[in-house]
Amino acid sequence: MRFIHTADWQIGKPFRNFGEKESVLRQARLSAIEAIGRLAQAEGAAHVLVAGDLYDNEAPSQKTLLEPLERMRNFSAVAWHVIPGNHDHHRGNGLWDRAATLGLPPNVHLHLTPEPASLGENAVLLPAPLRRKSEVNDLTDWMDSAASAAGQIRIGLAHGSVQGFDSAGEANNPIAADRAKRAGLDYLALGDWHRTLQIGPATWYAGTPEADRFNSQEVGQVLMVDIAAAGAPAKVTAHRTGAYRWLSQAEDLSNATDIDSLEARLRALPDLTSLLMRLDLRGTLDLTARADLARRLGGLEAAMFWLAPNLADLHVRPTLADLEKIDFDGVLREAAEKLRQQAENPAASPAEQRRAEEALVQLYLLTRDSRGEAA
Amino acid sequence: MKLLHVSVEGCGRFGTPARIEGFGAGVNILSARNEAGKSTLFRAIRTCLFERHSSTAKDIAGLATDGLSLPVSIKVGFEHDGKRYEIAKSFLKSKAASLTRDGVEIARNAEADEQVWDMLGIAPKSTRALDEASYGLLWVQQGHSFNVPEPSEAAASQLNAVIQQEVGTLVGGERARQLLGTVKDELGRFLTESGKPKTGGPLHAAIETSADITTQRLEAESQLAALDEKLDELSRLRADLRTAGDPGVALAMKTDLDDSKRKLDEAEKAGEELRRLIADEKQVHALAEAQADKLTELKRRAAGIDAQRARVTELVKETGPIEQEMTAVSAALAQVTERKARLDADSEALDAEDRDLVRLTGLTTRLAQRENLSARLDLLERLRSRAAANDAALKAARVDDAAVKALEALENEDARLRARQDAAAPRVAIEAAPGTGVRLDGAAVSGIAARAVTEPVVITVGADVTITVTPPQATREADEKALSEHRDRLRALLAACGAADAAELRRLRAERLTLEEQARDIKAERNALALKDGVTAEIERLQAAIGEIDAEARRDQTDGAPLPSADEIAQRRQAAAERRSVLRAELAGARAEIEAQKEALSRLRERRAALQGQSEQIHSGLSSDLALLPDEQRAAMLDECEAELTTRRDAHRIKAALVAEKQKQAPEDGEIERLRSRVDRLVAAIRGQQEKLEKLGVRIAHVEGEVKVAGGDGLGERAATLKLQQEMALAEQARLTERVEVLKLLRTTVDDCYAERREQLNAPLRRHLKPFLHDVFPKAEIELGENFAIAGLNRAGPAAEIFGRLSLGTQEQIAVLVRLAMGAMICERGSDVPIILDDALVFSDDDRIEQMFDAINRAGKNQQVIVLTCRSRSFTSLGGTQLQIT
Repeated sequence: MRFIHTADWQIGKPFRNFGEKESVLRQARLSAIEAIGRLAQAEGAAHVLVAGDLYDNEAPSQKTLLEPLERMRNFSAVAWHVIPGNHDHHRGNGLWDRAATLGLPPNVHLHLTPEPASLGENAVLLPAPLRRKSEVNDLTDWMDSAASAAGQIRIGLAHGSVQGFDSAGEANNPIAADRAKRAGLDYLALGDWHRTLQIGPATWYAGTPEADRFNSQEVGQVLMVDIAAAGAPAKVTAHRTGAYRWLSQAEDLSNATDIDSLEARLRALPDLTSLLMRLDLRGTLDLTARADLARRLGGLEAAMFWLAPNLADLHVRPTLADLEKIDFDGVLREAAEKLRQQAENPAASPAEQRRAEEALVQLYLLTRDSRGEAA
Repeated sequence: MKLLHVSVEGCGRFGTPARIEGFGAGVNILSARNEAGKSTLFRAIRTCLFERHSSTAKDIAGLATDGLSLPVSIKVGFEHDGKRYEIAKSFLKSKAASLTRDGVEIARNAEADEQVWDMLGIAPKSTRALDEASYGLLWVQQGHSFNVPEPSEAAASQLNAVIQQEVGTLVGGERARQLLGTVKDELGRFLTESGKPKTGGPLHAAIETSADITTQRLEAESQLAALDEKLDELSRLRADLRTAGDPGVALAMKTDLDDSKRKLDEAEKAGEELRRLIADEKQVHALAEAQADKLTELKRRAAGIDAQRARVTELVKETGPIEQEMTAVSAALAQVTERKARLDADSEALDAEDRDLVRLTGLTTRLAQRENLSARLDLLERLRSRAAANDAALKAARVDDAAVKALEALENEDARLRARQDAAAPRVAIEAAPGTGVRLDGAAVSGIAARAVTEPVVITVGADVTITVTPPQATREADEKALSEHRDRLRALLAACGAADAAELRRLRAERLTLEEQARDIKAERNALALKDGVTAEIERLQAAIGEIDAEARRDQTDGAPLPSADEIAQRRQAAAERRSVLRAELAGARAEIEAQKEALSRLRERRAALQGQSEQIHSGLSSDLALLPDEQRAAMLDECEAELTTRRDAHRIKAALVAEKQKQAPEDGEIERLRSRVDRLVAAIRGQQEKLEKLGVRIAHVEGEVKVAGGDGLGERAATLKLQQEMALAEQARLTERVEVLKLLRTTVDDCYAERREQLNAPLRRHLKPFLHDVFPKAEIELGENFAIAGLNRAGPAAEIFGRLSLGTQEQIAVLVRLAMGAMICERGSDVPIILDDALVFSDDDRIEQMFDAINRAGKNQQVIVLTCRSRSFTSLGGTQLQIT
């Protein structure tokens, strides 16, 4: 048997902090569904198991509600099996009732109750849908006693945090780490954890098909699962479905050479136009290098899909040359010296030091502007 | 540059062409009356040089000559870098501009405008405004000479450039000033002058955006929470509906109700039948019991008749002994009554003995009292006799206390008269040795002897000498007379007291005091006797009492028998007492015995009466019973009654068996009530369940409607988006706030450093100002502040005078001098800008204006100075080139 395991689509998730790129990122999440559908068709996977959090919240707009359903409808040969997660948990008149009222595609199967569902003649699906945002009980308990015909492949589908595993799952919906073993499952398809992660021999988090945050899965993917027969080990293969790469990187800078190196390395990264990067810069630069860094970051920002430099830990210490560029002597030179002293004053608070640094940078830039030099 | 000539037409009062020419290199003066057009010419020069020819500014329109439709035509000739130029412009109409150099046109219209500006070193800030730079500073129009020079941006730059050239680039004042300007402009985008976020500025907008988004977010989250609650409520309602609408439960309740109703009906019927049978059984039982009671009553009555008859017989037997006993008790009572009468007689005899003994005792007592009364009478008579004697003696003793005091007064008066006589008399003093034979009134004198001469004194010395010293006659007679009168009063006092002399008078007084003492003692004794009515009355009362006792004694002894002694009386009293004691005991015994016999007799009578009553009562009851149950019918009546009783008891047993049988089949106690209660409960439960289902249905429909309304518009998405937006807005607000703080820090820091360098920056101007200033104010110094502002004037005193407090004339003079210094400073660095003063120095006195002329001429040595004035006479001594309007 072959099927695709995916989760955490979180359709409707806002990306307002990405400004004009928001619509692109929202659209990318929908495109990922199509990628999954194409993959299923191409690889002959009759079923796609969506392990919760198809939607980002339980009160989406009607358009948001329908968009993924319509994309799934387009792949009529694929059966999409969906359970509610903590972001889109099921309750009366909730979003799943709204979706049902609007008309579900025939190939989309909602599993809103913990009841065995057939996946053809050889397999049975044991879903554990969430009816609350946060469950204190393990909803996969029932799988232990769920009956299935002899020789049928038993597949669990759940959304939550595996107990005992250092999970950063988003909700307190516990799942026993040995559930697959206890319930005799050939595969336990989990959602909630946005990174692809294997918990046990037959227990996997699929991760999200389109990455949505830094310091998490860089590129979205799904799992292609092959199980030859009941009791046979599951063969799991990851397939990329995400269009955008979310990369987090930290760099130490101390001189112009470091900046050169950083720029070169970043520009060498593949697919810059689909790269979102959080760049944490640390260290200390002189004023010239700092101004140069700002200029280069501007270039990189234009080259990448999104660049979010974090300069909070990057400090500025002017060199003598920097100060002389402000002035050799006189009022501005004295002002620059005062600001430098304040930035280095151990008695000043970090915020005051930072403010003095920034004032110094401004002084430097303004004096360069007044000379007609490029900042 | 140097101005060479000016021509105007259609300009102010110059409707026709007018021209001034002949401007020299140094001081030039155009002296003309008021309204001759001096200020118009000044404005014309500025307009021609600094305004675009195409400008329609109000100032230009104001220049046009009233009533004419001519264009405002102005030509200005000037020399610059050794070449002669002429700029000619027509404003408002036929707008045109032409710049010629050495008679050759080199530019026209806008190009001409701008080439002039380029030559003059000024640049337009915009198409409308032009910063005239140093020209604006040095060309002082009418009425502005009082103002402290405030360099425009370009002028300040020019001044700073000059200063920088002079002091080198080390100060950096101009760069700092320009940077401060940039920083302040940037801050001005964010903040108002008072430091608050500027409306329309980015910070204000960010704050408003944050607040707006926060409000929206809170509203969306509130709506979301409400939706969440509605969904929760809906879940609860649906769960309730499922429970309430469970058909199994409803069917079970219906079945239970039907079964309960059937059981209740059966139970009620069985209960009714049982109640009826029980009533029958009770009725039959009551009949049987009534018959049993009747039989019992007959038997009791028969037994009662028999018992009554037996009792009557017993009563007759009991009455005989009682009669006998009553006879015996009556006899005993008579005997004891007789004995008591004897005892009463004995008692009366004893009473007589007692009375006699009392009489004798009283008589004896009164005789004893008489002795006491006699003794008291004797005492009182003696006291009365002593009192009478004392009173008589007191009457005879007449010397009282007043007489003694009169005597003492006379004696004192006598002593005083003698002392006065002695004091007034001459004194004789003799000192003689012993044995000298000197005598004083016959007495030998040995040593010292002295005497007052109140009467003639004889002194002898030996036998041969006799000296008689006689006091003055008049004095002696007066003293003698006073003494004589005094002695007469003393004698009269003694005679009145019956005393021969003073000593006797005092003795008689002592005797009277003794008598008075005795009188007080007698009175004290009388008081001690506590006599209520006085001594005499008491004596009389005692005498009467004694007489009464004597009379009583005589009366009690009429039998003539001698009085018994006290012992005899006591023996008789003792004997009488003993006899009375015995007699009392016997009398008490007799009385008790009488009472006992009477009581026994009474009891016997009562008992006899009781027996008689019983007998009568029995006879009465017996008659009644016999009337109801005659002896001859007794047996028949009893048999009949017993037969009826048997019949009724048989009937009851049948009924009781039937009831017992039915009771076994009937419901238990309370079963009907339980069944009825259960039926009621089930009916109410079914009805309540139906109502609940209806209400739940209505409520669910209502909540579903609310959910549909609240949940269909993407509320969750909106809340999530707003959350992000709020975070972004707050971050942007924080970023801008920090940006403002950075700019403020930069501004403050540069400001502080600039202030520290101010003295250095102002030094060139001060150096240039010094000669001009000393032309007018010798040894004075000017204190300069921010941007060349004049802070004060330091003349001779230790402290500077605040500029604003100086007289208007002095303020104007200093302001003009500072402008001259600025001009000189600019000129020295190669920028040759003329100085134009239009109607300045109007408040200067004659001396001060001469000094100002010196300063102006000092300026004229290096640059062109043009003075426009209406005060021809006052400005005559200014010198320089005289200009004329032609």
